[in-house]
Parts: sequence; structure tokens; C-alpha cells
Amino acid sequence: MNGTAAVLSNESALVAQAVVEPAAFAALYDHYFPRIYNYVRYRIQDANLADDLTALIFERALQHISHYNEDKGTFSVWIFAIARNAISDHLRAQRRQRWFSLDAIWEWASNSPQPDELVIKDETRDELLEALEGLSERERDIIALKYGAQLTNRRIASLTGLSESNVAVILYRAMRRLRDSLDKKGMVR
Amino acid sequence: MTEREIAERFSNDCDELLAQREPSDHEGLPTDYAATLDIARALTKRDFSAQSQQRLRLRQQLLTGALGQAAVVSRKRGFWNHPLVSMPLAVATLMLFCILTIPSLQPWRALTHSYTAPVVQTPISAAQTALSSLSSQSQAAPQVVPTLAVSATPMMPTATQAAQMPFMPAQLLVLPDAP
Repeated sequence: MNGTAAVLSNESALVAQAVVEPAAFAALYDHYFPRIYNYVRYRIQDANLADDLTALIFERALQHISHYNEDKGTFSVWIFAIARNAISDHLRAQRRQRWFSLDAIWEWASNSPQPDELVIKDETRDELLEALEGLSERERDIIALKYGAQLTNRRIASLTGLSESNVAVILYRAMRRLRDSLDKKGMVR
Repeated sequence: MTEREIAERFSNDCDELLAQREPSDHEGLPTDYAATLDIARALTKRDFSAQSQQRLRLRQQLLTGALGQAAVVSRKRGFWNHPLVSMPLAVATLMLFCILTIPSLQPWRALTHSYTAPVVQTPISAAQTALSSLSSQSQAAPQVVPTLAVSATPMMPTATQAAQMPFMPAQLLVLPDAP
């Protein structure tokens, strides 16, 4: 995955072309897909859901690409803002739905995972992602933006509205908590 | 070093890892710094995008312009789809339906239409009617005041009737027996 964070040399031209010719968006898609998908996976554990959300993010980006203004920020910040909003919308809807769904009643009745959950969990099991669940939403977001989206602290700060220094502190604290969590599981050398 | 300084150093080292460069040695940093940076190293090497099932299909849609055309269609209808437009539209339609339905409702009809209550002939009203008709007829004739033996409360039991009723309360007002 390393090296994908490099900015496309002709990004501005590709964006301008994609406004009139949707097929030109494919180059931007190829460049940003791994980072967007990884960012989503850091935030959402379910691989299938991550796929759907990634598709939604690119669909929204293509729909609104004519609204992108280069003077207001880089394309990477713009597309990750769309990604953040899509995930926030999803998590909000999920929280609302949990109050009214029958699954919530099932969860209250039984703490043990259901058989289908066990199968899905085994397929996409990742200890690092599981350990991330112990962190707060903000900490997960910062970690996802740093390692999934591969953004610098400056760009994370412009996305989140925090100062660069605060981003660094939150990231460091979150990583220490993550290390402690993995240490308890015996996964740290 | 303060926590802020360590945190900024950590971020710089992470940027080095993301750029596939190895950060410099960790002299003067906390003992757990290296272990935390190892977690960061593991995260930078992790790539989940290979697990994606829809990457190629979505790309194909983009190349064929299917997604783009869908976007154009939704952009055309975007104004009506916008919640700030669609919601007031839905509310206005609902209100119009209510306004059109209200006149057919019974309480509304009762309020707006003239209502004439049916005339119920009670013994008292019958007596009053009789009295008024008599008085109108006897304008020219000598004044005769008719005395009609009409009980004011015909349903009220007389004293004899009340005495025969075992459950009649004693304090209940009863009329004296007619002579």
C-alpha cells in the first residue's frame, strides 16, 4: 500500500476532464480506491458493508465533482470529506436503527454471537481492526485518516477542524491505547 | 520532552514509514515509544483493498459511464429529491388533503350549517301551546283564565305511589295525593 499517498501529477486535469467525461474518473478511482477502501475498513469492520460504502463514496464524488473547487483544498481532502460524511451518516443511521430492530432485542437476550456472525467474523478476522473497536470514534477516525487514508497531519487537521498539534497528540494517545490493548491480548513483542 | 513534542515526533516518524523510509533512532524517547511505532509500522503495511469484492465491477461501471449517467439523471431530479424541497412538498400535499377533507366531517358541518333542533312535545310545552292559542282566540271574548290541571312534573310519584315503592328514599320530594 505504501507509496499510494503520492499526489497524481495531472490530478487537476483529470478532475476537470471527469466533469465532462465520467469515464475519465476511472484514473482517479484507480488512484484513490485503496486509500478510500482502507479508510472505510478502519472505520467499519464488515468487509461487505465497506464495499458498499466505498461504492457510495465514489458515486457521490462523481455526482458532485463539478462542485469541487481547487482553491478551497486538494482533491484528496475533498474526497475524504465525502468519505467521512458517508461513514458518519451510516453510523448515525445504524445507531438509530439499533433502537428499533429485532436484532437489538436478540442482543439483549443473548450475549453470545449468532452462528452466522461467527462465520463472517472468521472470514474477515483481523486482530488489529478488532483492537481498534476499543477506541473512541474520534480516535478511530484519526487513525483511519493517518494509516488508511495516508494523510498528513495538516490535511487531517483541515478535515477535522482540529489543530495540527492536537491531531498529533490524539494520534499518539490513541496508538498508545491500541498498543496497550494488543499487549493485553499478547500480540505485542 | 513534553507529551506534545513526543506526539509530533511520532507523527513525523509515521510519515516517514508511510513514505517507505525508516525513522531515525529513538534516543531520549520513552521506552514504550518503539513498541508504539511498531504498531504504526504494522498498520502502514496493512492493505485491505485486496479483500474488496466490488472494485472491478465498480470500475467497469465508471468506465462504461453507467454510474455517470445515473448521476446525471439524479442531478436532473436532484432539486425535487432534496429533503428541503421534498419534505415541504409532502407536508403541503398533506395539508391540502386535510383542508379538502375537513368540510365533509360532521363537527364542521354542525358548526357551519344552520341547525334546527326537532320540536319535542312535552306536557308542559303542550300546555303552554294550548294556553297561548287560547289567549290569542279570546282577544275579543271575555277574559277567561283557563285552569288546566297539568302536573308540572308528571313523572313525579304521588305520596301513595311513593309509599308503595319499597326503595323510594324518604326524603325524596313527592307530590301530595290529588283530592
